[in-house]
Amino acid sequence: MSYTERSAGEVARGREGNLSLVTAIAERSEPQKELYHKFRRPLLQVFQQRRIDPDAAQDLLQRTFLQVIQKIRADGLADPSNLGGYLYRTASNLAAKYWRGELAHEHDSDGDVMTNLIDDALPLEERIDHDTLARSVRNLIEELPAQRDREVLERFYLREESRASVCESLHLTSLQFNQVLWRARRRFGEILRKHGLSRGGGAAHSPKRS
Amino acid sequence: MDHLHFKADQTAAIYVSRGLDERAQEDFELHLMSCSECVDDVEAWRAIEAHMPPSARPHLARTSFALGSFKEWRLAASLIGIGIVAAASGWYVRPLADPELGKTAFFNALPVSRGAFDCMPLKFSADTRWVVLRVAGVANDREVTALNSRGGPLTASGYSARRQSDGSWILQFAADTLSRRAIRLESHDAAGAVEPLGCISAEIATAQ
Repeated sequence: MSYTERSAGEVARGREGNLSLVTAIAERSEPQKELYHKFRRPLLQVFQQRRIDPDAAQDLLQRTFLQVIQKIRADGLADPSNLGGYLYRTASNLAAKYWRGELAHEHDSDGDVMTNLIDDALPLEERIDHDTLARSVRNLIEELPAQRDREVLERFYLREESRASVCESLHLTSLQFNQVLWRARRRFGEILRKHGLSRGGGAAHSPKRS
Repeated sequence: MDHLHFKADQTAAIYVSRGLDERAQEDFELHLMSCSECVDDVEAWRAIEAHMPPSARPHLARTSFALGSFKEWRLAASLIGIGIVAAASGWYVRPLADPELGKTAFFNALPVSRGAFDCMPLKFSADTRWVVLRVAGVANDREVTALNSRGGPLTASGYSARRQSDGSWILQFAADTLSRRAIRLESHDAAGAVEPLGCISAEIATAQ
């Protein structure tokens, strides 16, 4: 099966899954854990991208789920298959309100649900300890075959130069730049697998969740 | 854009480095809601970014006053904070009548306690070319410096800093520099002792 076909199939299955999940939430048939399972990791990335610290992000995550569950039960969603989009908009709005100081900064986490999350709902930083992750990244940098590859990563992430700037100074095309990143991501996946992490391993062949 | 394009373009890596424009970021984040593989990629790149070992090469070496860890810096910043003179609802930008300066946004920062926020977004319009930040309350024996979020020095073309006669500091940033990255502000004395002043980032205002 090709990459595109697999992706299209997953999208279709995802939308069907959203419909079932919205129905389950509306009928109050213990949907909360599945909602967490499916959307916790991407929503945390949305908050992290907006520079919201982890504790506050957990609070906003709770608020996001709570708002959406209440919305589903009160009014329903216009397009239940787009549950992810609705969660995303809700999370984005809450993040904006957080930065505008319109939210009380109280942490209202649901301890029971959060402590019973299964591994698939945990992001990489929560599944592997800090030291191991740091060692894995050091291994990655040391094992990259070309000095140029190391320099690309260092300039991109340590010096925070733009892609255009890195490409220009190293005389790289966009394709070459992307190949450097692809090689690094693939190698990092191999290193993580050595540490027993089965998910998030390869750049193009990482195991999928059911 | 579909999954194949996101993968081919290494969008996850660019996303983590905050190199996507607003529209592209939204498209990608919506995609993340339904793609665990791309979430895997984003998490991996975040780990690489967070744990990238400092390079020993001279051009990447940090200056002596920036050696403190980011976590220490964030903790201190949460205690000191930066207050930006604002209306009750938030930050204020003073538009200028002079057309020569019409693409410049001005902000004023004061050292007041603002609670534990990490990075304060400065709101300005998309056509802004320069952002000028006045930092008051800096001791006479200290100099203000802007660093990227990892503690590395900004390039000279990205910003300038100078002390004014009233003791405050004026920092001028290319809007492009600020819109791509969070910027850390520190002051340091001749002995290299660092005092964190806070963190700023850009929030591009959308047309009403």
